[in-house]
Amino acid sequence: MSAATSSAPWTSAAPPRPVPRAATQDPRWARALLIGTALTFLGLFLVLPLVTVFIEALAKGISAYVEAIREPTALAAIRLTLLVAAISVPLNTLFGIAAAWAIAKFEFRGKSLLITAIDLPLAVSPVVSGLIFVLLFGAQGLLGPWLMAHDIKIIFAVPGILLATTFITFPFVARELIPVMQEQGTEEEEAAVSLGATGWQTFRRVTLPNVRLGLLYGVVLLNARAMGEFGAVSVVSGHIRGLTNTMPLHVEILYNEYQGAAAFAVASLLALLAIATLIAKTVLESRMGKRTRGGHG
Amino acid sequence: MKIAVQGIRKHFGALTVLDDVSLDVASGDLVALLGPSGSGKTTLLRIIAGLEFPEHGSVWFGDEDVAARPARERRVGFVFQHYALFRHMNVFENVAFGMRVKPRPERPAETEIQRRAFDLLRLVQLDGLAGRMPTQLSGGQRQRVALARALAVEPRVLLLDEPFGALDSRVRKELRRWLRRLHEELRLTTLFVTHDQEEALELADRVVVLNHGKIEQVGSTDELYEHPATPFVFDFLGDTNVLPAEIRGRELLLPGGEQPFPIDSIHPSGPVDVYVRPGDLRLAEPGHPGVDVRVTAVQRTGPIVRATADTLAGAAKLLVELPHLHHDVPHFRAGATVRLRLMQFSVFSQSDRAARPATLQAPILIGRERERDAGVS
Repeated sequence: MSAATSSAPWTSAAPPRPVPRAATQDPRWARALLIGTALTFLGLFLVLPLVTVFIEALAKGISAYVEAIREPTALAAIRLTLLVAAISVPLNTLFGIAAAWAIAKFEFRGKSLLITAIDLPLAVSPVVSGLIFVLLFGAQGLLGPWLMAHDIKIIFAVPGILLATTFITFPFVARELIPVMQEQGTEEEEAAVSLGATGWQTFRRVTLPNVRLGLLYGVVLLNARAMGEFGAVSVVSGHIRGLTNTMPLHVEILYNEYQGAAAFAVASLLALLAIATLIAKTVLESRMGKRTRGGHG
Repeated sequence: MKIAVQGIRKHFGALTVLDDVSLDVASGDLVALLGPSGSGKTTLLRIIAGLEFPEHGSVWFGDEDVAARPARERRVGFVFQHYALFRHMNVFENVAFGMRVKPRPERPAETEIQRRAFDLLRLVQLDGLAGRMPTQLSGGQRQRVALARALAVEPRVLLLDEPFGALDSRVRKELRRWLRRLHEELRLTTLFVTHDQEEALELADRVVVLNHGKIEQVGSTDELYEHPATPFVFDFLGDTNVLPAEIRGRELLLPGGEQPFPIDSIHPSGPVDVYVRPGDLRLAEPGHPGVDVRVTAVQRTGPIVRATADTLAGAAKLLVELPHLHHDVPHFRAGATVRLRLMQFSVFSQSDRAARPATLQAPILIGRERERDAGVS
């Protein structure tokens, strides 16, 4: 400090000059306005509703909250939701890895068709997705008579819910993995093979570890959607309490029956899931950022 | 291990990448595959490694036909242009990978893996960096990790794809010399791909020049320079002047040259191309055959003086290179008219130029003359 002042004694005497602004830096008021707008929107459309969910859920006290969740049809809905997630998440994880691997690492006929097909569930309204299954498997549907003859129930039963959820959620893992895998190319796999690794060893020791964060992120999103899906499930479920109601459907029924506190109590569980998902996403993203910047990874 | 490829053909769609390529590499040789981009050199290397399969032809390691074998059974060490290190593994794990993926009966014990990995890291002078991740290494260090990793599987042959392509020129030269020493030590049959003729000529025992999927010439540095088989080889190995000329009976007529150049053997008369390097041009003594030129510019770059000149007849452009202390240098002034002597040149029939690469023809003549007063004035 003393060295600095002695080498440049005039700096203290000179009147304060305006600090030159970097070309990419906006004036202070513009920054305040932008940040303010973003935060207001976030507060209005994200934080406020979330807080409201919890306030409403606890409006009649803790015991009412616990009661609403412990009620048998609520428990059945939670169980069904967990079951659906437990089946559709692993299925779509496998499908997503396989599809992403095929698309990113191999050239084959019909590749662009597959890429488009993966996006289909995101492009179609969930209600339409649900209707597709009704038209296929419903009593008046294409396969309905055959299913009826063999006493197999799909629509208005658990298998229908599973099918609809799996259909809706199948893009998530593949969507996350394809860009990551494409960016990484095939050189590391070729290196592994030339070093004597089998196809499985290459996949398990090279391909999979290289995309593990992207994969985890995809699974988190997939799980959130599998538990929260409403539209498609609503069409195929039949809303049979204690049997074919998932959590989102259960919330809707309670709400329509003016059981506000109970509806919000179950909804708060889904909201917690959303928060957990967001946190997981943030953690993973910061870790992924570190890796691409060349950290210890 | 001796490598032989025979009659290799490979297409990518409608594009012929390799067209009936055959090549023998003697055991323990260090051979460069040299060619411009798109010449098929990398594809040939990948076919030898088993990363690519030809439509036609065979690949032999020693007496074993490996053409049908997948890459992982060929036991080749392959070093990729961009290293292809496993990004989630540290240096040690990268080197140990090849030993860890061996089937259980052949897999060395953990202590043995450790010992060999560290031996290799010492060999490539990286034993202090075993715990680093690939992103924490410089380009040259990554390349050496890639080499150690390839050597860890005790390969029968070592294949390197543009091994120094992504490095800056100083590191490249250092690594080149180091690789040469390593090769002397290990005596592993080694093939490397490069588009840099200086790299190929400095590093390799033999150079294979490829163009448009065909081998133009195989030879040592001297052979390639002294007896370039095709105009392409001559042109690709360095700066080239091309002079239109004519053979009449037993004489070569240079542009504007009243004095013909006598030639020994008999060739059909007709127009030819004379190929001559800028450094093989000197001032002709009075009364000697040569090409009359007008000097257009003279520029010194480091120890070399470069002059550009136009032939008086036909106005072909020529580049002349002289050592800066050579006694010819003072005669090269912009605007001056001088007669140039061709110390060494190759003559190709003009159809070679038009028809290549389909016809590969030997030069019809190679002229050579020693510089009588070579050295410093």
